[in-house]
Amino acid sequence: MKGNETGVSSGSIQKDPDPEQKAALISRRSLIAGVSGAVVLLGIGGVARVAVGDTPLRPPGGQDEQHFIGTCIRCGRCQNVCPRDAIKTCEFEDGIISARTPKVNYRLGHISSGYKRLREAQTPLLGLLEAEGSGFCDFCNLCIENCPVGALVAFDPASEWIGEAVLATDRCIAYEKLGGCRKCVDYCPFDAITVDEFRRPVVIPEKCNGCGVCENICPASSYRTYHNDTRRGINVHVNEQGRPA
Amino acid sequence: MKINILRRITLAVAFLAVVVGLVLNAGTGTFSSFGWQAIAAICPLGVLESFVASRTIFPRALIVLVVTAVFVIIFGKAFCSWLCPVVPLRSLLRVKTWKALLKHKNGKEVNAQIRVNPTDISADIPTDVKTPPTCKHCSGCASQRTKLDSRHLILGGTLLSAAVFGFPVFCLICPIGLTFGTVILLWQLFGPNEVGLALLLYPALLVLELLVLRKWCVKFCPLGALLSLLSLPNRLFRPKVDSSQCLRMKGVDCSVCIDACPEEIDPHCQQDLHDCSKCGLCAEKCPASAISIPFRQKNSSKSVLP
Repeated sequence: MKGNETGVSSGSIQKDPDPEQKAALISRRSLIAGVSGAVVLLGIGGVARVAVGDTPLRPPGGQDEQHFIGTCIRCGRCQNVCPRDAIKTCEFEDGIISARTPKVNYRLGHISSGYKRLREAQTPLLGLLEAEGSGFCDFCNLCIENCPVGALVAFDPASEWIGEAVLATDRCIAYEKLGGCRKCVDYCPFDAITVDEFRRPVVIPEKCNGCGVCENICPASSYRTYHNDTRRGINVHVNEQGRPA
Repeated sequence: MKINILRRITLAVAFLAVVVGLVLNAGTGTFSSFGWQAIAAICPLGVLESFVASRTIFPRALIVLVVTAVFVIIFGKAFCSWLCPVVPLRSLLRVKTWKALLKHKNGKEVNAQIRVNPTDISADIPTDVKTPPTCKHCSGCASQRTKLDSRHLILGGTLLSAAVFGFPVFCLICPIGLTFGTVILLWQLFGPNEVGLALLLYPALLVLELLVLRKWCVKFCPLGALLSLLSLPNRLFRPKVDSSQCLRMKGVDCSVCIDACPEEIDPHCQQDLHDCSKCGLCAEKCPASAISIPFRQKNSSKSVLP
């Protein structure tokens, strides 16, 4: 055992206590255990801060990563409440600091039906809310309302984004065979995807709010993995720059 | 006996409530925050860490923190033995528990800690002999705890690390959080989910905390330290020793209540009772039935209180 001469009365060992004296402030063993525990916590904090991975895609309102990671207590309520099952928890693979914090995953779940209603709806947001299926964000605000510590702040799907939809040109079927697929163009509830002269999809970042419908329905690599990752033809990426106006 | 069964039922019901909420996707959350929409209990340590780390105060969480403090003043550290899943988990992980269970099945009495046979005492000790209480500090306690212990330092470390590194560091390794984290991962096995290494790592961390650091609750848990500080003003549901019944007051070397106490306190020692988690084991185990847990202490020995 290393000697711990940190001022706090070294004579405060509990053996043979002076009957006249009140209880000592802290025993030496407690001091050592406590200080080591505190040091371990500081060490974990440091390691977690150093070994950060890529910022995970956070639920709506958690885009300010600094605020989010500082506030989130990893209670799992946003994940638990999400009616679209789009929120999952990070694991150590996403960086130690993010373990058990929420991340958005658009690759599990499916849009089963209701697509027509979605497209014919008066406002895209309403259409999205009425759509059936899981694995996308309909901006219902439940995660924000349920967050007990305010890690998820108010979110406006008209001007902010969860992340930016980015085409993976090495995956997209339309890039492989020109005009081969336009699912994301047809499905995007916010008309944020158009086609270029070669009938390949192009994302308009000003309109995209990262709802994830495109990633969800993208058929490229949705059933198998070609390149040892689960990327699809179009993926919602973290973009901390914020959505262009 | 009754109070202990009630306690176990409460533990099980609370745990099941979380699991049912998870299964139904009700959004009720885990013990870190449990409730409906904006009306939810939040882990007070988590809230403090969150405030310190983000250097902002979220009003709703502050209100909950105050309500929690009031709750703790009324019920003391009751969370530790009536709700916290770590206590049953820890005993489940221990070989000792299983051995005791097996022994119990074989008909042997497990509660063999009682060193004296209560029926013999009245015969053994002459009624006129008044042996002074064993404790030197106050009336009748065998061992008084120090004012601060390792838990408090770890509580300080928890807040310090949150402030320095800008995120709730302790939440990463909190055994309560890890327990429910594991439950969530297990539940995710029943759906279209990706399950990674964490399903092994979370339980491994739990085992490390609860088995290697054997006395997690009394020596390391910063949440317990926070609750114990918050329950300093608590005066309700405190164990009360009837000194006319207590064997130790009669000079018998009896420490059944201390041995039974999961918080390792002596119910005779008024100064330590803020650490009581109201489990009722001392009252249950006392061979002379000298301990009760009244709602209020009627003739409270105010002179002894600090």
